[in-house]
Amino acid sequence: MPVTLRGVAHTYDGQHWVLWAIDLDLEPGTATAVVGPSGSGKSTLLAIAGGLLKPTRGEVRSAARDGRGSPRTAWILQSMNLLPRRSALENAALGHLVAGGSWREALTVAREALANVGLDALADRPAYSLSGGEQQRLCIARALVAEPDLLLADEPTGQLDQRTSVEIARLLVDVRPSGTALLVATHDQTVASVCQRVLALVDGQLMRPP
Amino acid sequence: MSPSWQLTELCLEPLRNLRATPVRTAVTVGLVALVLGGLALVELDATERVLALRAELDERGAHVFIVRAEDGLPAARCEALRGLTGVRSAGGVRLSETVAPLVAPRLRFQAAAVTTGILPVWDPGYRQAEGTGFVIGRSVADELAVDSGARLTLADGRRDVVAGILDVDDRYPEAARWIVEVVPPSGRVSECWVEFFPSASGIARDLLAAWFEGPGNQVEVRWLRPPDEFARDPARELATRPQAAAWLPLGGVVGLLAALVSWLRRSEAALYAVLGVRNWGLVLMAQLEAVVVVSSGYLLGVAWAAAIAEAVGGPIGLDQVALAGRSAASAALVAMLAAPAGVIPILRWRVVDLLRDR
Repeated sequence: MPVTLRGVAHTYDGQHWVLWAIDLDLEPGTATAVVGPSGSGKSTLLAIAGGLLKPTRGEVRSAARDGRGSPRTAWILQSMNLLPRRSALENAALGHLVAGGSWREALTVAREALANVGLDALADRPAYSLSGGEQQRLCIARALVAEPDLLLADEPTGQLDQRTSVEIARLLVDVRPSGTALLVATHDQTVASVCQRVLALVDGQLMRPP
Repeated sequence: MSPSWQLTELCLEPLRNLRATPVRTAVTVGLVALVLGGLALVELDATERVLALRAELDERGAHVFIVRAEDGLPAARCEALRGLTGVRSAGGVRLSETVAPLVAPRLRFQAAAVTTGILPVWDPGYRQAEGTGFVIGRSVADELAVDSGARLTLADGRRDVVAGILDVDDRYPEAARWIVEVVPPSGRVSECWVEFFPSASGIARDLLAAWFEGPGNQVEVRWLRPPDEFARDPARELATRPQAAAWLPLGGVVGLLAALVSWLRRSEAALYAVLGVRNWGLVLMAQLEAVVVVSSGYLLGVAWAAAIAEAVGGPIGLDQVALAGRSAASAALVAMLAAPAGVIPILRWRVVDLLRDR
């Protein structure tokens, strides 16, 4: 199991609890969506699950799929977070370096990943020249290149139109490696609908939506 | 242990970023070159002034010493000083009676016998004509209307060509009315004149005293021009030049510029953090990028400063470039050390917040 959260609670100011008593299991190969309005703590939950933030209370257990070491984590974010002047290929290749790969290998793997997300023809274009949808596909390609145990997506379609959102949501679920656990924070029902499990974050607590 | 970037890739990534942003790289390198080159240019100008002052003082004999002894000095030992490191030239003089030229028997001039090495000490621009003959002071030449190569006959019957004319106004004006004969270094001379290179001037007095002193032979060593005669001292002026400490604030300014660039690119740093680069890796990347940019700016800056200095003021010496380069290098080093400061505040922030800044 890549990540397990038990009794996780978090506050930024010591008074207001953003998350409270969260229990969550992210199994390999599963896709989980967390829905909720803006400011409900979805991003905080992702940051804790991804190891970027230490919870105020509770326990986070994580392991790689093979049980050795920490899980490899990849992020897809609302704002695209690409290096705008670097080519699409180079941006995608960065994901492979996380795993300790060399640049040469990374470029090879990235080319395949770009083909998987339909961006092979744009590989040499600088990231800033791509459209919003293309940039988000590029982020997905970069995440795939990392071969992550855990893929975290924070409002991945937040800046996209409806049609592109559907494409991106499908891509996100379909092209990830089979053992990768996906956790998506979104308020977009289109994205939530493609996930196997949908949880709502209400008043800092996770529950199944009605 | 969680997976992480290879150190090689971490080091190469800043280079890939610099290559991908040629305009930003060129502008940053240009700004660094402007600041460091400006410092180098000011330093080159300062050394040019100091060298000009040193040349002027040299011209006036700031490093010339005169050695005397009651019973005179051995001429050969005086001439032998020319073989020592740090000695520019040395030669002895022995005065004799006054003489009159045959063409103007009522004009009397001081006669003297000298060894060869004294002539460039009296007149640094003196060039010995071919062959032997009289060497006369400029006043003698003017009063008798003779030039090099003319024949001069003295009232006592001695007759020879004028082998050279000494211009001694700067160093020994008395000799302007002298007629001297260059003789081999034998016997004794009344004075030994020695000119040192500036770098060896400090040890001159002790060296000369030791060189000539012997049992019962007390020598007197004196400056042609005592140091307090000059109001300015090139070494002091070089040491106290106003910009001598400018490398520190200028380096700080360049470092802050680099830190500002890092700060403006903080979301990029955050992205790398999300991509698995640890805090020390972010600092290393910022440091390496600063090293490349500042080093390039340094080389470019010193090169253009040298080119401008040479175009404006003529040829410059390697030692001048070395001094200017050293000052600029000190500033560059400060800049390189300060540059990662732009990343350090980012490390304390929550990555997720930074990512939303974009």
